[in-house]
Amino acid sequence: MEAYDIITEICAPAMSQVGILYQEGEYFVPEILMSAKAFEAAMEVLRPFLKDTEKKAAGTVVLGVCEGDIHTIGKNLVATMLEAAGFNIIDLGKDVPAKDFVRVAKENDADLIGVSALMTTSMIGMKDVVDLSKEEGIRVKIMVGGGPVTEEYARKIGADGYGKDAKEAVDLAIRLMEA
Amino acid sequence: MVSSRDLVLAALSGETPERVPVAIVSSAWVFSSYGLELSEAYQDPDLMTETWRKFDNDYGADAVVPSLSSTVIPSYFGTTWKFPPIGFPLLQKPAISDPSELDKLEKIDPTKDKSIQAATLHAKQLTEKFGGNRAVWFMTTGPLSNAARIVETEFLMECLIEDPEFVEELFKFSMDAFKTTVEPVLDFGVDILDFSSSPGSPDLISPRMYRRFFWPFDKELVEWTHKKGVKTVFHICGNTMPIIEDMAKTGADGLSVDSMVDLSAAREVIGKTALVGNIDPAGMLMNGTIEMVEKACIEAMKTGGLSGAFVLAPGCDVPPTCPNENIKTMIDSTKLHGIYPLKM
Repeated sequence: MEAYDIITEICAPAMSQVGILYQEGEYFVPEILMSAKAFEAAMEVLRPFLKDTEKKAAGTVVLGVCEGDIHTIGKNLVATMLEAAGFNIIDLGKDVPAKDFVRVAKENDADLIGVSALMTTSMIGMKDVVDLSKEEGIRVKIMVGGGPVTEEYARKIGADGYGKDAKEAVDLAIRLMEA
Repeated sequence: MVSSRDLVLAALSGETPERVPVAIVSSAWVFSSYGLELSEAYQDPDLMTETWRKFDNDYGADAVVPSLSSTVIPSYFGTTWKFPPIGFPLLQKPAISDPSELDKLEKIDPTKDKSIQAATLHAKQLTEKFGGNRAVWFMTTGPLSNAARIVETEFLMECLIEDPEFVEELFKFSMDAFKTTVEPVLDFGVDILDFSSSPGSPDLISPRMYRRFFWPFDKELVEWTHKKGVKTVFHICGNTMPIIEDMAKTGADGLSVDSMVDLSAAREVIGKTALVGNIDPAGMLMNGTIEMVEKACIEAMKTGGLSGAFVLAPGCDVPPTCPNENIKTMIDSTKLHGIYPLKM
């Protein structure tokens, strides 16, 4: 079996199943982290065997946690699941100022920006990312998520979409790429 | 006339007091609302006590809440933080990032730490000033929450599967440090020890894992506190309904629940164990209007406190940017609408 087929036919559906098990209340954070670790380990082995043409990603996503927030678990899961779905991920980590999201998205001609927050005090930074990307006039879609964030909040700040969990984030990213 | 302390203690004993007691269990909000820098305030016992005196005078809640901030014990072991101008401290680097490093940590000596000394003295001052009148409610970040700050939460989550023995060791270590730190405060005669155990939340781990790893320690802490003659309030963030029966079985006097918990459903499961909560700190206290806050308080009393055993409080820590008038409304509307028997 080719490396590419192992990823698309085995690893990606497995991670997708992990997302479903989480939504069903069967898996929790420790189980997801273990699955993500297993996925990353498989990718380490398989990456060198991918042909250049197969590396073409479904899209490029700049991901990070809002300035003033260091809760990375959710963002890391989204990163893994997006990678499994074929996206190219640029992970800016935690406590990321709005200007860095926009600058990196611009530099890499990214398709999507994903902003995560777990705290009400930090999620206000999401609006800055939306506003700044409009100011800069970049053609990027912005998706948001994390504990206190809601669909309504996403709409209010002018984000392009909201994902309740990692599985929804992937579905949303695919929808935004098609739109 | 019964004192605030009587109201709170009756509620935490499963009884119906004359009125629903109300407590603002958030020193971070109180200090911020009086313009204090959190990192400085936590080092200054006189400033903390004076600020609570002002708050008590201006607002008249039923409890004063000295606290041991979430950073103190993990910092002692080497965890570093960033203090943003607004908001809660952010963990920068955990004290240990490998299980082998746990053995290298020395046992805690509270006399060597300025923040622990400040928190202890502050609790003593509030007990001397308000003891017998207001309930003295000592709020702490509990030992298992501290454990997730001595290592990083994500690492702890992984270890629950990959290295359960390390988790046990870490929890034991953190429990010892916690008891050593808070013991002098309990001996001053505070009324309540409030502790969190938030990495055990069903938002993060399965109820099965909670029962295996967290519950025995939570129960141990409740029993230890009771032996000291102090009541316990026990908080876990998020939707705790899947484990609320287990939480009650620790023997805690009060369960502090977050805003997404349905109080009437919780009441059915936990019987006469007191409920503490659960006004939404962000959606309601920070972003709501005073009319919305009043309505939310009435609703919480109606669903959680119809037959006593209830303290009206925020569901979790209050954001520092929450407006003063919403907190005032929360206290005033409890006093107005919370006289038993409740007319609603």
